[in-house]
Amino acid sequence: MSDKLIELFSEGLGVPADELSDETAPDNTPQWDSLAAMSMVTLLEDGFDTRLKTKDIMKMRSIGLAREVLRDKGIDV
Amino acid sequence: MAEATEASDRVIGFAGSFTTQPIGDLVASMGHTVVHADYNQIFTTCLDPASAFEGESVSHLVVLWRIEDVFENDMVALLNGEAEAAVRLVDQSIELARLVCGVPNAHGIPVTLGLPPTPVGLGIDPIDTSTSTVVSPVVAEIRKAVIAEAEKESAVRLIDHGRLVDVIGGNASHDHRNQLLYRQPYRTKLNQLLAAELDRVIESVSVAAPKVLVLDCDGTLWDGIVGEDGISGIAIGDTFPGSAFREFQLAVKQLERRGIMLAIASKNEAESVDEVFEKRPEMVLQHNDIAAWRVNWTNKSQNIREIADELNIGLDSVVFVDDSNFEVEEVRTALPMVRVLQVPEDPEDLPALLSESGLFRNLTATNEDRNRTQMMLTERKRDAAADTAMSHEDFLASLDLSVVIDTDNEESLGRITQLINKTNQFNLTTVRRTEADVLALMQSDKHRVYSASVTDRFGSYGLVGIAIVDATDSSTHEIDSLMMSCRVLRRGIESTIIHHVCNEAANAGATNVLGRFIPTAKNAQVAPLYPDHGFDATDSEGVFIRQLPYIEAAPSHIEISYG
Repeated sequence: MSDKLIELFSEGLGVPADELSDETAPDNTPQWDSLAAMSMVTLLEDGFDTRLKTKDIMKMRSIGLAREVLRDKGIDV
Repeated sequence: MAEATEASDRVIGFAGSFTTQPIGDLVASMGHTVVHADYNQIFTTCLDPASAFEGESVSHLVVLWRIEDVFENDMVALLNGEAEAAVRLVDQSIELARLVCGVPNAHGIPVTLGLPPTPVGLGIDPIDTSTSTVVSPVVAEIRKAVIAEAEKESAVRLIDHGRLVDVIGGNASHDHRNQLLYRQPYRTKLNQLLAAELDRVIESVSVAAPKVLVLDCDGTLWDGIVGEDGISGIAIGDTFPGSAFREFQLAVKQLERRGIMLAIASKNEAESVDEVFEKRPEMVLQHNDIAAWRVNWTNKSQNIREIADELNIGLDSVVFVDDSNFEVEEVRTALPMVRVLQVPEDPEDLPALLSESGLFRNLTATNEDRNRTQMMLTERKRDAAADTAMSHEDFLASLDLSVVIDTDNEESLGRITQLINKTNQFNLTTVRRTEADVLALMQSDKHRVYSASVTDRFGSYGLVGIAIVDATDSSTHEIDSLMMSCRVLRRGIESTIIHHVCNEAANAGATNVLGRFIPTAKNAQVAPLYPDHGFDATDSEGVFIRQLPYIEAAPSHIEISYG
């Protein structure tokens, strides 16, 4: 099953999708630096056609937490 | 151009007053290698590009800046009513522009510099007139000063960052959340536009600049077909659709002012087209604006070839505009190097055709470029003289040609560099050089940079010939580069230059002069140049050697003087 969220993170972080999981976070992924975080915001906003507040972005400290934020906004991920 | 650097070989260095990575990523996706200096390090980057890019040697520097980022304190002071801050902002901006524009000379790296947009943020209400009356004149002054600095340096291109924001609109361009979080003030749409424009500017460095615009008439300069609808039946003027065609002509006329030559290629009776130019006062373009005419029933591709030949320019410098699918296809197929623009189906889209093509944007124009149409009109008189003259020798003698040869003249550095980088046809080695390279050669004891300026009884051609001689080997001087503008072909100028170079070498004690011919797709005409001047072929392909002294006389129809 393809996971759009994982695919977007794979694109934004430049890490193969099969190396990513909901546990992937800046602490265990050196590619997840501030520039990657910035492009992730654009990728998520464009990919899910949504707009994130700074408080949403601050919460996204792992792929799993990003999933929660998007679900809270009514997005099916 | 076989010699042009391929996009993949180039390394584009970005220095910005804000986070430039999203723009750089988009530029990278267009086939460039991109590196970034640290954010808001424009000054240090320009002073020491090598360390700013961590040793990566960049071949092109892009500087994007916002006034409110670089001079935040003075911007805030201005908003708080401190009038002196306006002076400081302008002065410091000039300082920044000078530093950036000095990079080509100091480090040999060409630069694309952004013209800053109107500041946002810092509590500014963009719609409040009491703020805009304070901020707008300062921004205008800064932009004017930056343009003035950039115009002094031919290796600096401008990109109008501010106008790009205007085109998209302030609110649609900005992302204040990303500015606060990441120092990245823009939305994807603006970044895409900036990246596309940067790509175009960077690419334009290695693509032949347009020099002539070839225009169809019926359906392009006016609506209708003059041969069928008659002189009064065609539409040009104040009412639609004639108004759209008039506006298109206004855009064409502006290009002519900027040194683009205009030519007509129309399938028509010559009298019909002449009549429109003479008898329709709504025509913006006048007879004198057109440097070459081909009004006949021949193929457009053939006519375009002839126009390029008549105006002495390469076909890759031609832009052709026509409304007909057939003509557009015919030219695209027969002359793939010609850039073709088709008149859009709806007349209302015509006025923006040239600007939206981007082909003519930000061309660096020297005075010689601006005068080119005038020169070509004089050239037509010269050709007319050639037609009636008894022989080519008589014709040459009647021209009263005079050549001034300068050595290592730094005042002509800009023009010399321009000629080195755009001459394709009469060019023996086609070595391209930056202004810094040329300056270094001028200042070197081992090299001479000769430049030849030509006048005749019809007018001045300006600086049109260059020879660069390497005297490192004191007994055999080598002609490293030899080129001439096509405007002065077949007049014996090259013989005068070779004569001078050989005499100078002999005077310096050399016994031989060595010349090279490196073939390209365009320079076949100069293959026999050295043999024609008494140089002998050697065992190495394309290397010729000439024993000194050079006993042949210089061409007698040319008067030589030395600057």
